[in-house]
Amino acid sequence: MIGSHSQTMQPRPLALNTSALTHSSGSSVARLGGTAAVAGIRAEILHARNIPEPPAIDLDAPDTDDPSAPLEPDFALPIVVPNIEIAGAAPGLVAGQAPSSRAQALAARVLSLLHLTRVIRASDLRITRKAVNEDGEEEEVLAGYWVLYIDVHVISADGNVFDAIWFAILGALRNARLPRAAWNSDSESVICDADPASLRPLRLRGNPVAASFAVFEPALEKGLRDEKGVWVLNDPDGFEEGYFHLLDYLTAFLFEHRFDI
Amino acid sequence: MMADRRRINGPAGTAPPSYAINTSDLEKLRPSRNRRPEELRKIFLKTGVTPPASGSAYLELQSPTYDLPVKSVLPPASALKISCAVHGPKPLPRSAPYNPQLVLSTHVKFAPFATRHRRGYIRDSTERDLGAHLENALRGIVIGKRWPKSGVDVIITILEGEEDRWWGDEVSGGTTGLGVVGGWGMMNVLAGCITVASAALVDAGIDCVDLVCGGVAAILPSPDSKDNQTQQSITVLDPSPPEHPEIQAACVVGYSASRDEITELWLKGDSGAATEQLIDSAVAAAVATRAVMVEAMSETALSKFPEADIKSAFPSADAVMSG
Repeated sequence: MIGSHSQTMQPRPLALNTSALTHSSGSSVARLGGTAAVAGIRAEILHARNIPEPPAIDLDAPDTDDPSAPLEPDFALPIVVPNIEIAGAAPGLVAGQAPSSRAQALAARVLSLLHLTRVIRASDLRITRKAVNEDGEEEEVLAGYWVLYIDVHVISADGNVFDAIWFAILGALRNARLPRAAWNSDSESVICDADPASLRPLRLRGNPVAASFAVFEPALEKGLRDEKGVWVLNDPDGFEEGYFHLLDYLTAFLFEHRFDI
Repeated sequence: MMADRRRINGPAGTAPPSYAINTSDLEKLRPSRNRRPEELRKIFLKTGVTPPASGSAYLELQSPTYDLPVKSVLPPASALKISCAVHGPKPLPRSAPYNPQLVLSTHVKFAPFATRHRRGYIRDSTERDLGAHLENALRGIVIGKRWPKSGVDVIITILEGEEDRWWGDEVSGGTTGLGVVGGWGMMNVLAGCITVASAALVDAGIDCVDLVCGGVAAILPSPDSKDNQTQQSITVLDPSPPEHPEIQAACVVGYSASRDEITELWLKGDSGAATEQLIDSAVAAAVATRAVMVEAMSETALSKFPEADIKSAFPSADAVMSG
């Protein structure tokens, strides 16, 4: 191999550093060889009165750890908002413009995979309050949601950007801490507890790991038409992505002895 | 406003969380400076963080630790974290008019999570302003004539900015209301941008006459001058705005030490007769930053040319650091 790999199935060294950012609820920096991504999660509050069409949710429904359970209806609302900034991370990625199609594709993929893996629990993001219903009984109703703005800045794009982004996001989610939020009937709004002891982590469902592979078919390259065989590379670096005619990109997700592609 | 269809948008009407804080505890949460007036926060500077770029650097200021009697989830102050990538020199597009000089373009953007209030995705006026100031500072050291018909992009991402004031003063209206355009925190951000961009330019191998370092100083009204109007004030280097309930004036310089030149100067507030002294203090802060920069640069040089005799290549290195 000419890239930074010694083996086709060996990923580059991964380093994860968490909770470095002051103004985030959770943050992490992931380095995968020469690729680096910084993820920061900002939690904001969406009051129930600001939801024009609230999704039909059952607050009494039991919470499940099963990642194959159907997606909670809460996620019909955009309460998990990932965005990727990749400008400046590699030559040709111009800064100061609208997100490139690559950045848009990455963000869309992150969002669909966050939903698909069910890693975030809707019940962690709900803020509830007690209210008296028509029959005079006290019941629990939705006061609002925590909205997670997950912003990822790719500092260095040296191949396999997606895996670095995913590791950074997972690292940030795992150390995210939300304050205790309670309904204040005087101000008719959600007020949070400033005591650091009230912070609670998100109860993530499993720990899905991304592993991307690239397929390289030499016969498609100029001057290599007689080459037989197909190569599968794990964690391709910038050189391998840029110079090889990559046929396809596959991302496998491994969680709880299950493969999802 | 129309939703941006190229980004994933959150629901309309979200707000940052409001916290319940006991007003009697509020002042106990205020951070205060625990460094000497002439002491800077520790600086971490490293080059080569973005391998695909021709040059890059990362700068971080040490987060100060405060011994506060009451703990809160709201951070008392933040620490600057800036990443810079330099792309080029590269040929200008064919459509560009002939230019005998290197075209320097600077681009500064805050990450959405960089400040206490979530930042937007589109560059705002503060960020464009910072970019213009930075360009000024760098233009003074880059030897543009060596790269005709070429352009270089300096792209800065601010991962964590400096606060304009302590959060407790935000509602009560403390810290002089002068900080309308950008506020005091911008001064420190600009100084950091100048230092990190200069390091990245060197890492990219772009010919420069010298390093340029950013330095900030501020004039604070003396704590006991409030009653007797003696106008006694003190000057501090590298001020962290949340640590000071009031700032009278602040100054940031881009200073090139071996030529003794100021390439960028930004003064804000009412410094009165002490203007010259304030600028001198900012230069002193820049000189102190330079020691860190020279150290980082010699590390960069060593990693690029392991055989070279770095000590003789940086004759000023020892002199600066010992001074």
